[in-house]
Order: sequence, then structure tokens, then C-alpha cells
Amino acid sequence: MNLHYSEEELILLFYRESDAPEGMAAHLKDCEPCRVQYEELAAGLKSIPGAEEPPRRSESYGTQVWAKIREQLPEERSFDWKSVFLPRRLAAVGAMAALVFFAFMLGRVSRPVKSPMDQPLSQQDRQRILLAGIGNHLDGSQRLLLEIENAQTGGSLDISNEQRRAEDLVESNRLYRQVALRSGDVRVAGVLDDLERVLLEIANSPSQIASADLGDIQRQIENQGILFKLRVMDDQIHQREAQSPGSGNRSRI
Amino acid sequence: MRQMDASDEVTVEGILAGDREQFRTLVERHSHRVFRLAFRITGREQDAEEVVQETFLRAYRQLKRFESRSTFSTWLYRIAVNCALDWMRKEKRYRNRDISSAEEAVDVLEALPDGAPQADRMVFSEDVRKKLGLALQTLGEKERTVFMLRHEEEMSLREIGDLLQISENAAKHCLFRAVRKLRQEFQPLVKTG
Repeated sequence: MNLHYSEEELILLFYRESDAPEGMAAHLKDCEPCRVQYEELAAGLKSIPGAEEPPRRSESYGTQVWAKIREQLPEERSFDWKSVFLPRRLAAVGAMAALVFFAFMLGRVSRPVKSPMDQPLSQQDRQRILLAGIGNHLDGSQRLLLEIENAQTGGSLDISNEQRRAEDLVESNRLYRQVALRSGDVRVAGVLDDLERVLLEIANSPSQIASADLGDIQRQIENQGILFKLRVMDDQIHQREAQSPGSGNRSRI
Repeated sequence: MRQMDASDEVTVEGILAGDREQFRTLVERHSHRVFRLAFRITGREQDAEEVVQETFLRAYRQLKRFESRSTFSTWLYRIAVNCALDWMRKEKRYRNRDISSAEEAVDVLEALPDGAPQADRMVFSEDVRKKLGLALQTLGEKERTVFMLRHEEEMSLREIGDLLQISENAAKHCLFRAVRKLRQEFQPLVKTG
């Protein structure tokens, strides 16, 4: 027989994924070029050292994991997404964002002017509030993107709740992006700009999203590496937050 | 794995009905497997531990989304793979350093004379094996994951496709690309065999 198997077919045979393993085995017996190619392939694959075997976990490993995460599990009410969007809560979020923005700008833009407030917040307090606000914003954004990224495709999916969260996040994101731009932190502004595009994409999608559209958003999240960027930024924010009380010399976001 | 799925789903129903403690059953049942998967992708014990915790926390938060389109275990392992990949992206800068080490390891191996005594090769083998394992990091993310799950965990391409939410055919092509690249990387080893 003059026909020979391709490398791909031989790889599938090696991994027991071939559709016709018996036929291939019979062919390899009679066809020396194919047999030699397969033997080389198999030797090569067997010689790949691969990674270490995963370290063994004890029998009680599951119990240990449970002990670590138990306290971190959200309360039951966190599953009630609707409660997140109660008007009073949205109002509180909006007010907090406005306060943070105002407090920050007061310190940054109006510093030379005497504050009308009787007891103005110190620079450290303002920074701490701002960092906490941004930290929460990044945490919320990451949670949303992770949920979208891990959502199951196939058929359509109701993402109306996620869309409301995305709309909310877009508002606060714009706020923080403007603050970042004003303080000259172009890198942070750039990340927030990327984030905003993804959030808008989610907010503007149909609430019953088709699998293909969801896949597009997931790819957008993945291709931009937005989650990675958010995590890095979040880590930095938390570090600054931790250093903030004593240092008092960090003026950028 | 599949035998557990029916009771997994019953357990999920119980959790969704308000019995949070039932989540413990799922954690205890799947932790070992999630750890193996996480380790295969991250390659580091401590990272895998973090991924395990993040996986279960994420799964709990999203439990309402589980709609039995796939088995619970597939759904959970998919989350685990995504968590591990997220982790890897986060750690990418450190990995880049590791890749350099892998390249150095190949150089070391190539520098060994063909006639080097077997004992010398044995001494080198563990170190080389470990370092060559890092060569896996030179593969693309999906290629590496598909290869590890197929080659090390012996999962079928169909299962891998399910986990990564790609078609079986796409998983197959990832495997082909990975094998080709790795065969080139490991050519010096093959010659000694």
C-alpha cells in the first residue's frame, strides 16, 4: 500500500484517540515507513519528561479545604442579586462615589483655596477613601468579568442582572478614569478604559445573550488580558492602601 | 467520576435550597481532583492550593448558574481550569523567567557529549526532567493545557474540549501543535533513547 498515515493520525493513535485503531495497527505491521514514523513518535512522546507528579494530598484534604473557605463563603443573601440593585443601595453607591470624587478633587484641585469645611479630611484620609473606593470598584469588576468568563455557553443565557451591575460599574469606572487622567496616571486610565469597553459591551448586549455573542465577550476579556491587568492593579491598590497611613506621600492613584 | 454526578446534583439542589453546609460534601468529594488539575496547569504546589480555594469559592458564588447542561464535575473542573489559567496569567512575568531556565536546560543537554556515560546522564536526568518540564511553558496557553490534560491526566480530547469550552476538533489541533513543538524541544533526549 502506498498510502501512509499522517503525523496527526499517528499522534491520535498514540493517545488512543484514533477512530480506527485496529485498521491502523494492521497497517503499521505491513508498512515499514509508517511503523518507523510511529515508533519515533511514540519514543519521543514517551521521553517527554513532563511535569512532576502532583504531590499527594492526605485523605482529609477536602476537609482542610472546607475549613479554609468556609468563612469566606458569601452569605445566602448574596445569591439574591436583586437585592444588590435595590434603589437605596444604588443611591448609597452613587453617593459614596460622589463623595470620594469630591474628597479627592478637593485635595487635588482646590488645595490652595481655603476649604469651606470646618474639619476637612486630611490628605491621608482622602487617599485612603479613594483607594478603598477604587479597590471595591476593581473587586466588583473582577467578580463580574469572572462570572461572565465562566458562564456556560450553549443556547441563550439571561444576563440581565449582570448588565445592571455592568451599567453601575461603567458609571463609577468613568469617575475613576477621569480622576486617573487628571492625576496624570495614564497607565491606570488605560486599564480603566479597557475595562470600560468590556463593561459597555456587557451592558449593551441583549439580556438574553446568544452563545456566540457571549463567546465574543469572553474572548474580548481573554484577549485583552483585562482580568490580569485588574488583578495587578488591585494588588497595587491594596499595597498602597496598606502603606497609606504612615507614608502620606503617595499622590497618584 | 461519573458515578458521583447524580448525587452531586442532588447536593447542589440542597445548597440552592438554603443548606450551605452541604457544599462541604462537594468540596470534600472534588478537592483532590481539582488539586491535580490545578497542579497540572500551574506546576506549583502552593499555586495549586490557592487555585483550589478560589475554584470552590467561585463555584459557590455561581452555583445558581449550574444548569445541568453538563455534569457538575465537568462544570466545576471547567471553573478550576479557568481559575488556574487566570492564575498563570497573573504569574506570567515570573513564568517568563522560568522559560529562560528551560532554554538553558536544553542547552545543557545539547552540550553533553553523545558518548557521555549513562551515570552522568542519570545524574543530570532529574534536573533535566524538571527543567524540561518548564519547556511546556513555551507552549501557548491552550496548547499547554490540552497537552497536560491529555498526556499527564489522560483525559479524552472530548473531555478536554468540554473543560476548555472548545470543540473536540480544536482540542485535537492544540494537541497536534503542542506535540510538534515539544518534539522539537526534546529532540536531544529522543536521540539518546
